[in-house]
Amino acid sequence: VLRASHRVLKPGGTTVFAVIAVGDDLNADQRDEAIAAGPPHVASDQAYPDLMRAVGFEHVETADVTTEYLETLTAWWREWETESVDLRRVVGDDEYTERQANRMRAIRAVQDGLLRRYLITGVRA
Amino acid sequence: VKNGNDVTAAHGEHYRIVEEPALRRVERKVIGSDYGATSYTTVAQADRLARYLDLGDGMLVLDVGSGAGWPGIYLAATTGAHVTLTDIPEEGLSVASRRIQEDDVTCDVVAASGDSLPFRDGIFDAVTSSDVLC
Repeated sequence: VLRASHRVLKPGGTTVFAVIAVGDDLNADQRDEAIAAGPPHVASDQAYPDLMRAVGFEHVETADVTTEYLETLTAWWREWETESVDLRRVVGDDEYTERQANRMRAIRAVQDGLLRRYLITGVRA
Repeated sequence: VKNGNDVTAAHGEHYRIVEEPALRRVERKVIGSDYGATSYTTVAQADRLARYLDLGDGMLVLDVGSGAGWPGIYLAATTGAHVTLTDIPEEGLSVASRRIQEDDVTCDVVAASGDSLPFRDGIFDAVTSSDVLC
């Protein structure tokens, strides 16, 4: 995706990727939990800024938005609780329970430093 | 890494119900908008993306992994940019197409994978993607 995005950008064009990544310096169990609790493809082994530089982006900068990510995750869980009667009707009891459990697992993973979210910017030379 | 086909199927299920009133109410409270978001980008962060990308009238912008159109359609509506939305689940792109018509904004919708974008080299002024790479 990074390589394709770089290709279609004009020289001087800018990009912003919002990414959710496994936390730094985790042991094997923590890493497994981060992957299980996080969204798809969270298990990248290379830091995204390095990957962006590798495909040719310059002026690569990273903003840590993990605090906002935790607030948003928590708000999803809280508002689904608030609207639980209607949402159970829409998605069914099993799906509702599974989604809320997944959200709570992700909330705990972020609180424990297992998952982080970043906005990464770059420019095509 | 979780199975890509399972992920696409799960997103397809999400888009089939995303226009339900209860889901829209929740999304407005959490994200600040109701496009059927599958990312954690809030309205405040979408505005931050627009400032960083310096989006303006007529600029060509690509939203990779656009889902149902958040934040691409919003960015088109608020900045005047011409946004191209790309993603795989057709259910999400259908939701996006309806919203583009409702909001009367300038957007294109292209079914494509993010790693094989069907566009010429060097045609976009800016590219954005939310929680697709993760």
